[in-house]
Amino acid sequence: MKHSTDQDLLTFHWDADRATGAHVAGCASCAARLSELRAVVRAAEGAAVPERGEGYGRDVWARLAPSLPDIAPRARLWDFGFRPLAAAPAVAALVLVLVLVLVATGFLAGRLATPRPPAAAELAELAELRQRVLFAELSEHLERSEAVLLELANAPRGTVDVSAEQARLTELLPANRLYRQASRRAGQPAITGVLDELERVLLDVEHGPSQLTRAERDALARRIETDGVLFRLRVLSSRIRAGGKTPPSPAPDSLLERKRA
Amino acid sequence: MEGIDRAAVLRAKAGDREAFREIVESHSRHVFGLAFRMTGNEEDAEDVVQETFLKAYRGLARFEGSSEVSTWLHRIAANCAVDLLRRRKGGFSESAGSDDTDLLPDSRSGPEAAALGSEIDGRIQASLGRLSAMERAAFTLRHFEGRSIREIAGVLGVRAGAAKNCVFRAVAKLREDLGPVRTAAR
Repeated sequence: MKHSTDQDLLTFHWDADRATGAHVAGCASCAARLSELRAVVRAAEGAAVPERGEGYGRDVWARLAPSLPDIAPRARLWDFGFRPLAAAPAVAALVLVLVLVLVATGFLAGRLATPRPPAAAELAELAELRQRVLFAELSEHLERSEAVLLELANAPRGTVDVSAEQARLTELLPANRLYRQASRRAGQPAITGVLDELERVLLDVEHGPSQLTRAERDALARRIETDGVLFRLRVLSSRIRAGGKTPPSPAPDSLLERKRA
Repeated sequence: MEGIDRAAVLRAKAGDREAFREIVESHSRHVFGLAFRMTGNEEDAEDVVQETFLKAYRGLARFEGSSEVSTWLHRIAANCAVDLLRRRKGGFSESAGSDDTDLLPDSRSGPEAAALGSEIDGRIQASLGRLSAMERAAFTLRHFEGRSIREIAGVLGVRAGAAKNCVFRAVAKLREDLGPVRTAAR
């Protein structure tokens, strides 16, 4: 007789699937294991949740309300009887006419007017704005990457399943590539260097096995922690958070030396 | 309740702050319960509650009403808790370091039984603290929230197989930690 696995028994505990139920009913050994697993998950319920009184919601609101901006109601076209599908041909025609008018105006304006070069101040302002946007987005990306690296570095000893982390990399890697390219274009070698290194680690994890042996797990943890990827990531992250200023470009080795010291 | 919630969301979307206050007041305790189970820490749970409602407020325009308001809020809360746990992971790992199974008393009566109860409670907390952020989140959502594996995968942003593994790994770790305590308590 083939016994149920622990996973089957847990699935049965939560979802009560019939096949496992029928087996457990006639198998004392699986019934005993099911009972043990149930006791374990129920033991977790013993971790008491501190009670919050009836007025808790009011307290939360009192703390929250000052930080909430006003919501401006968004008027939508269909609130006034507009039917998007019915009006689609008319809208398309209108858009086409507008595009033609804009192209014609641009063409004529280009022929009649001498283009004015943007002032240096405008260019500087634009560059600063672009940089601020990049830093804000980048900061969030670094935080997410750090979380994945931490999960990997702190994975339990022994064979470990990293498929969850690999799944998260499918989003992180393309984003990392974009930020790396953007930082290179923006002339930020320090950021580009860290993202470059991060990408190599992430790529190796993504293309590696989803089940890591103890040796593989240790090697990965060493690479993340000892080789300093995580440290550089944190330094960059904290500098960006500290004020969105362009981080200076210390050589990676000097950072590591400082860490070891 | 759900009808009232949906009406409140519609009013809040239209700029009515009072409507959002109603949502906050009626869901805070449940959100706190979930946040505490996921973080194991009152202070962190309070942060998660604040963050959840702030995010919900900012995301009101994107809430289409395809799920219940409570489900929507719990999804945001779970994500906030997962983010927070990932940031604090170092602290959680440390709490699981000691393995003092041998220190359990042999006979239990009166004060000793109380001490054992407190020890078991401590062990449960420590064992939950040993779970990774993903494992703790997945287990809480599965066991306490009754979410399906597919829903958990959606909340955590991972594949269903990975979510399932997280739940099973969590139970395996709990079993490893709590097995000796339960045996000793008998």
